[in-house]
Amino acid sequence: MRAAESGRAPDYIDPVTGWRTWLVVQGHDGPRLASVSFPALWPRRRRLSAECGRGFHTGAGPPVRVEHRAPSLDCSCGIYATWNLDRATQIADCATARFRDCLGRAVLGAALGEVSLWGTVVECAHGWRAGFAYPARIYVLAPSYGRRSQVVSAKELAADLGAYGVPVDALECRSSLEIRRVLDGERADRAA
Amino acid sequence: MEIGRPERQYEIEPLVEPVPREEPDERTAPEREPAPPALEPVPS
Repeated sequence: MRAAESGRAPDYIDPVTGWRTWLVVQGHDGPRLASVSFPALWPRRRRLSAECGRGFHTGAGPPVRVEHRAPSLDCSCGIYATWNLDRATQIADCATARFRDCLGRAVLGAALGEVSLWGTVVECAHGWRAGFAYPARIYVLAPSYGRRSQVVSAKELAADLGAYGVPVDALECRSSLEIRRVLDGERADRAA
Repeated sequence: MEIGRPERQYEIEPLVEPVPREEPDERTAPEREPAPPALEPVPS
């Protein structure tokens, strides 16, 4: 039950911000962000809400099917992000190598970025699972990144993804090490 | 994505959700209600 519904004050008022990876897929009205390991399209200018399709609690003891609101401490549901940029780039490596289509739509490319998370939040050892999310900053990976090549240029995709209303940049990097170096430098510039 | 074991759970309710509003030119024009039909003069 959310804090407002239970009548008690929330624990925090500032969203947490983590890293995650997206696929960029062809939507009916232009490129859209999609989750890598779950069939979800990220809406533009509306929050993404988590739902649990499994209904399984996998805490102590054998899995028990229990309908519940996502995310739950005892399940694996929720919208994922990590505080560890290296983990996000590992997902990018897998995503660019494995996917040719997603949700029946052509995969145009992949993106890495920061995401705001709020609502019910389950904090984990290396990141979070949350009830609500929206991208905070999007970096479109270069066509040459990873082991597949995309047809659409990163700059072109970045321009189209501007419809999300958050900063979007094309990242002309060819390796996760290079991503790390560029983004660490950029964050240092922003903090200065 | 592997994010490790859950450690704690909490509620975050931002005063303003971090979702950009639509630009004014991106909003669809509100539909106007059709004008009421003209009243025919009532024969006296």
